[in-house]
Amino acid sequence: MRERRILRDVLYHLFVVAFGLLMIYPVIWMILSSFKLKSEILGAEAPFWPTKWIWQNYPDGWKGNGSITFGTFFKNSAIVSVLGTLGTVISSAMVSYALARVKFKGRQFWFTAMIMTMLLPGQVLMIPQYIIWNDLNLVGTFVPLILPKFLGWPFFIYMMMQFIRGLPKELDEAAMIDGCNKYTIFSRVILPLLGPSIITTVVISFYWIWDDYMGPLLYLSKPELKTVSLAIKGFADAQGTNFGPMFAMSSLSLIPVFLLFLFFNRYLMDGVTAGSVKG
Amino acid sequence: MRKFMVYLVMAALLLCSLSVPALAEEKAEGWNNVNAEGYVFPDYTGETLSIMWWGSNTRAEMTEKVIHLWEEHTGAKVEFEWYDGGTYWTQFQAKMAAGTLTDVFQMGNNWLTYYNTIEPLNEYIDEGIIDTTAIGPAMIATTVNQANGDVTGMSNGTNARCFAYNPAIFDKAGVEYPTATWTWEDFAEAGRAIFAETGKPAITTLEYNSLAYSVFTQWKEGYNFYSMDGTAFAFDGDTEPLAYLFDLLTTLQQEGVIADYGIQNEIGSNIEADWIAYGDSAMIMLSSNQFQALSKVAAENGITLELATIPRVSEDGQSGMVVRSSQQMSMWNGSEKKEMAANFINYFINSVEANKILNCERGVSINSDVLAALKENADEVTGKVYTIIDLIGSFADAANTSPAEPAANEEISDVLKKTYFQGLAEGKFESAEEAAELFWAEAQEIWAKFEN
Amino acid sequence: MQATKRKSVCSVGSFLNNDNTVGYLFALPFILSFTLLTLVPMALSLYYSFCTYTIGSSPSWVGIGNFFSLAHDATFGNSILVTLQYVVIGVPLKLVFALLIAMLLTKPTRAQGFYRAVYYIPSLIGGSVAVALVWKQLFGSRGPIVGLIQGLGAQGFNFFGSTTWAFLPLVLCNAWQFGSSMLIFASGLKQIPKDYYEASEIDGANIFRRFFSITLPCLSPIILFNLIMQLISGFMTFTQAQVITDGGPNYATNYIALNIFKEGFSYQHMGYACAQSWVMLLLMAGITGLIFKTSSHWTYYEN
Repeated sequence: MRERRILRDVLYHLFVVAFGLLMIYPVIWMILSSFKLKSEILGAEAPFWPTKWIWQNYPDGWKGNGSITFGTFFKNSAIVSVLGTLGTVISSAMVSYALARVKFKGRQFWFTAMIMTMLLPGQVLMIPQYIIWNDLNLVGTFVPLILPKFLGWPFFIYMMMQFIRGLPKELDEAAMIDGCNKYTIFSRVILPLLGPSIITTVVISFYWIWDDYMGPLLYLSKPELKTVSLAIKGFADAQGTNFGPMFAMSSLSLIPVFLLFLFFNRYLMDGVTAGSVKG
Repeated sequence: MRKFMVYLVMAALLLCSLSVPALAEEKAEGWNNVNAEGYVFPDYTGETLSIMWWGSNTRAEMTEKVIHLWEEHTGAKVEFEWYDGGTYWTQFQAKMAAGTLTDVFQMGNNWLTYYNTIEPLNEYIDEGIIDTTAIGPAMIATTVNQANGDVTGMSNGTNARCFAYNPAIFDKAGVEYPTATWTWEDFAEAGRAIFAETGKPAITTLEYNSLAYSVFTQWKEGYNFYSMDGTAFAFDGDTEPLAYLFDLLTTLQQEGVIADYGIQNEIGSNIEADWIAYGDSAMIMLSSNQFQALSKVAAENGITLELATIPRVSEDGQSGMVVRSSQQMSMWNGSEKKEMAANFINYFINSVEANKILNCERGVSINSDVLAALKENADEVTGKVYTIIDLIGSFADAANTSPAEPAANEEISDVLKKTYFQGLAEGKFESAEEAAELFWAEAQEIWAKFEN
Repeated sequence: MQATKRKSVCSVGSFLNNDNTVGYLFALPFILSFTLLTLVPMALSLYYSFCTYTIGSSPSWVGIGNFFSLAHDATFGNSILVTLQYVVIGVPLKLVFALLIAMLLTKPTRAQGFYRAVYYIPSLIGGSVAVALVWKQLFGSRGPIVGLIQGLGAQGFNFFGSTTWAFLPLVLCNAWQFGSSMLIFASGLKQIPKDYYEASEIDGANIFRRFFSITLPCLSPIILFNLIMQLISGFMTFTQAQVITDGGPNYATNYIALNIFKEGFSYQHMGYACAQSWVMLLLMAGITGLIFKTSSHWTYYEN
């Protein structure tokens, strides 16, 4: 019996590791490419391992361009991502509570409106939105990237709504009897139970903002305001691409998001066996 | 009394005729030559100028250095921004919509599309703020609107669509190298021989729309895809040249001589991923200013590449090639600092010290003094680019300039490639002739959308 | 005096505790962003869809002209078809994949955190140039996968040259970036009360029974969410098609969002692009509406 369990565990780990390797093959490819000469990155017979390790790609990449290094770009990305994530969590939790638990007039309307905003391709909204920010004199600042996050991100609002709707209503009623009002139900009952979905929001929204390219493209036009994702794009052009430095910086830009994930994942880890809701 | 008037007028005329050379003397010959020792930069201390361009970070680095030099000379402050080529136009259109373009911006041959943002430079050239003494008329013409003579910008450098080839593979297959007047038959023959020898496609990248434009010019004297002023098609609705090209390229592709669209898509816009740089194909089509980047990768693989012209329909016919402006510096017509902008453009285009830094990365300089200075210490690869541009410039029909790209061009060229070239390969048309005729019908439809 | 004061406090209190007050107060951020940042651009795009409009010039009204042209536009019709193909194949694939991996990685082992991180990394590199290049190499004409297929006898086959198969690398690339869906499923699984499983174990239900009678129903709100979101993002798919296939070959991967971008920004027909967007919006609103309607039959909320 015990042997069978061990065998099952070994098979489990073998499978997860093998499949995982397949999954991250492209990532490994990218990291190895960051140590290669251009000619070994592309081409049919490109070797998997670099034949000669080109460490120089990292300092070359870090230099960025002209006077501005990736130090600045990482700082900009951090500002936008941290503040944007903070805004997303606060606003999405609030709005989702209203839409999922409070029976106010127009609730259905606002929910439909929220879904509708996600149905129009960003490409046709881009220019009118740019003009609004330009009229507010905020193009060339971080505001157009951060402020909207404080005003709710439909994806996360809807996600949290679904989690809240998964919580038993009796909790609210019990809290009501204990003297809670609608505000304290939110802060003392709903919010603590939203833990996993808040963590999920933090992790996902952080890397989406970190990775976003279209937003910074339009609003952070000055070189000293560029984010990492935007700066990395600058290595590529039809007239020649600096692949080595580009992959070097792409690899570096994975680190913060990866660490963030490792840190927060602890709160999501115990899985099914340690359910948090004792209804 | 009348006599007095006559004297007066004569005196006035005399004064005028005297004063004209006097004024000219005030500004000595070559006063505006930025390379001359006595050139005095205007003082723009405390003022700012904004500039934007597209390109890689390599270009950005070089451009930034030149900007700093100009800042030192004039005391001005420059706010600059740059993007990769693909997204530059999104940014450009956003700024255009908001009315916040930069004083100076890089512009492509698609300037007709953005015409209502561009300040013509004629006035600044006439006044000498932009010095054109060392720039040949043909070079200035590369950025002139032929319909009204407006100079839409100053070319940052010229390039030409041409072919790169690997002589080693030609040798191996026992095929002669392309000559300056090689024909499509030579091209097909060489391709087939190489394919027979290597078993791999001989040609991996072609630019379909520009090939089509070339073949129209080659077909008959006076033909062109678009008229020079970009206001009409200029081939009398003759679809024969296009059918010829459709047939030729599709046949070669089906034989395996030209890589299929799958392989061409994989390479896409990454010139460094092209098989030719790894010794796996023998010929590709490219813009001459991509040759340096391509050669760099090829050299890592021990491969030396050469440049050749586009094949012709007949040996003694027209070349169908053009030396065109690869891109230009244009001035925004909403700018409040036009004179300053003109001074910057002048420095950027004409200064030897600036262009030694820029090193023809954008294209071959249009200023003959600059070019002479750069040619002195050109490396071998860049030398090949200079040679091919000189050769193409010597063709009678290429001394001409490329026509303005009409606003409809983007859509027409996309449709030509995706609907018709690729559709023909998919067997969606009965024959090359049918495809050519249907294309012509659709091209006119697209054109009509821009008429109103 | 004191009585009136208490009364007014009371009414302020009941006003503050009123469902409408609470609702609008909490929903205020979204209402602000909707009215200030989204409504005007949306209305403008609707207006433009009835106009000939090029960015930077003034729009001119053409009535339903754009929609009339759309009806005859083979490229647009094709882009709807290929988008539907992408969504119908890609979305279920990604969701099933994400759910399976999420369940696989809830097994409580020491390495769980590490495993999850590994499976999550692919999503972190997003639509970057690196992904495009790797994908082109993996599925390229000289890549390992094509080599295998050609070895099986399909001579001369390659993905990016085939109008039939070019969509597959894109669908797989999308499925491969399942990280966020997986994470959302994982936190959904965590929320399922553990006693449910204990009870069923006592009843002697096997793993499949437990999956269908507990996991699926309890997870259904999250499944609904992931389904809706993946549908929407499937319809909006843009970057990968742009960097990997550029919509080719012969429009086989010319998805709607890509087509809209081309029409609006490259071809200078912004009015026409807006018309396409609104047709797309109606189509998606229909589909999501249908799902919401039927969802009451298969979604279980805790009340």
